[in-house]
Amino acid sequence: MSQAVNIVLDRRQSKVRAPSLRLGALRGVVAPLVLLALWQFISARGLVSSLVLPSPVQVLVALRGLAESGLLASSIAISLRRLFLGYALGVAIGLPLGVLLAASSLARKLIGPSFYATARVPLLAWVPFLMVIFGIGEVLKLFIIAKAVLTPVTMNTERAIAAIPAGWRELGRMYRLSAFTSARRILLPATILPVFVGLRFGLIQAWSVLIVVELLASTRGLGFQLTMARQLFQLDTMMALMLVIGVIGFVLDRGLALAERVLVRQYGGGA
Amino acid sequence: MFTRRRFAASLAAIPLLAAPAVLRAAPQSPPRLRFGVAMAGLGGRPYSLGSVVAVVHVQGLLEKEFAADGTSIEWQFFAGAGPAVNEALANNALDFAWQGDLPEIVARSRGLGTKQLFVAGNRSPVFVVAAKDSSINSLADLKGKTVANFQGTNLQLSVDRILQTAGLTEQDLQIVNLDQVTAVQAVAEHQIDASFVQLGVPPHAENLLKVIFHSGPAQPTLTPQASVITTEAFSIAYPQAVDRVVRVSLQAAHWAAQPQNRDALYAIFAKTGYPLPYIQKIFDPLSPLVGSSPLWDPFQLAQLNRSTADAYKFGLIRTPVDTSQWIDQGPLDRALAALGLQSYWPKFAPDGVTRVG
Repeated sequence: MSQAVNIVLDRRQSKVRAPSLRLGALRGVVAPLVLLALWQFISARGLVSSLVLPSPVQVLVALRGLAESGLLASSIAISLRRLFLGYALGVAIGLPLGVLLAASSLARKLIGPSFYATARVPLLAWVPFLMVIFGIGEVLKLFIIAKAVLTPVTMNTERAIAAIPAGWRELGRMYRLSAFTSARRILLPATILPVFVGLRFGLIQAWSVLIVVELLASTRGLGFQLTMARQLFQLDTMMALMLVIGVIGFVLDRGLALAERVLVRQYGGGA
Repeated sequence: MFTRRRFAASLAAIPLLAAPAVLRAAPQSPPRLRFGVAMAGLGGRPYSLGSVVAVVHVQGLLEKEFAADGTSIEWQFFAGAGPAVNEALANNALDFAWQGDLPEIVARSRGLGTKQLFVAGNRSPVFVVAAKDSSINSLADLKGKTVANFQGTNLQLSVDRILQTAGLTEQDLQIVNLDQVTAVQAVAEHQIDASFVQLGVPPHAENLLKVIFHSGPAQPTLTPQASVITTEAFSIAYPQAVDRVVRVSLQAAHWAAQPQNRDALYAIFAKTGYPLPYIQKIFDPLSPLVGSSPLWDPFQLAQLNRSTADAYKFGLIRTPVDTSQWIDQGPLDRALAALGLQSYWPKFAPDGVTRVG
């Protein structure tokens, strides 16, 4: 077992030494490699019972078992569906709300204080209250995810619009640009990046909240399988699921980061 | 000839003669004895109900038994039930545990070294409840519905067995993992469609719920089993202490089996915070003699074997479990003999209904 891991480690190390990789990428893998080595060392020496801390190889075997049973694919599909529904709901409310707060001083006075006050209450503190209202079904999950998305999206949108220099608007007026043109030429380029940062942050928030929500009371999905694995004392499966959750979160974030870079090239500015 | 030298040698040997006795005496009493209980009372109260373990705990029987040895008795009650007990066992935080068959089997399939000592809880009824105005009236109606189960606890085996009687599996239902108190509340509030419930329907929700299935006395094979286990490490290090724990527990089981002690027994159970009428309703229909039996009779042996086979069949464990080396009958046999209770409790055939002794 430990040999297999050493091979894995060796491979990774040789990759790291490959001259084609830049120094920056190399630094990124140091911490995971050290942790992996430490993990393997602890389990190989039996410092912690393998029942409590399964070895990396055991976790990989469990991961393969999950994948082969089809449970992994179906759980990921269910969790992602929840994520995107909740996310869409949060963005659908958050974007217009942010625009409204930025554009109308009346809205700012009427809704602003309530919005910021509710945003300050940690999400988990909302859960018992939302449970009473929405029950423990699918609606609860969507609302909690939407709520997690709403706050960063609204705040970033509002700030992005408010931060447009007054001179830019003046320019638009000077050139007598139509509302559409000024939105396309001034509003969009000036705000798209900060708004996008809000959307990206919202997605990451949504992902972490989704797993918490699925741990609470759920019938399917990655968080539910995580609980099941713990209840049935399959900590290797549990850690395999944690790995999957981490990788999906990473991929989601990288995907949006990539999109962000494209936007930077398109509209300039730096975020 | 008895020379001076030999005399001196004999004198020197005297402590050696005494040494085995000292060596034998030392491990007889462990410095501490940690007992984990896979149950907690309402709101996490450190009490349990339904088994002889509650009697041993509340009456302080282990504390009395080990008082002269300086052994400290530590009780731990786990609201997270069997799965939480397993985590504690894996962390070497317990010496004895009372829990249900499924968590014990799960732990054994994962390689946790335990020994089965005696049965402590059998034939405890399992119900399926739905909201009073619900369209669910039978097990078959559960298909596609959202149903609560306390996953990984010994209730789960019963759930799978009961579903099987209606030709269903967990996959035919939307199983939601909830503890019993929350589950019943959720059914009453129409948040989920139905719930499996062990022992009885909590009194506060009784008027809002209807029972659509009840594992009656005719089907004991559908019910979960609970027992007291010890760790292999402890049973090797302190075999005498294991014998004493079993003997004290059997005395308590004998006490609990007698009808004249029923009110006192209920008072012990009521320390969990569950109201007395609820406890009476659960246990009055059950035979105290059968319910208190510690025996691995043909029924209990068959039930443990069935549970290990079912756990594998239902996909709850990934490696099959062999029960042949698991039960350590010695402490139980010695305790029965010491107390003269060999033929006190009835024995049943594997069906759990036919009496064989």
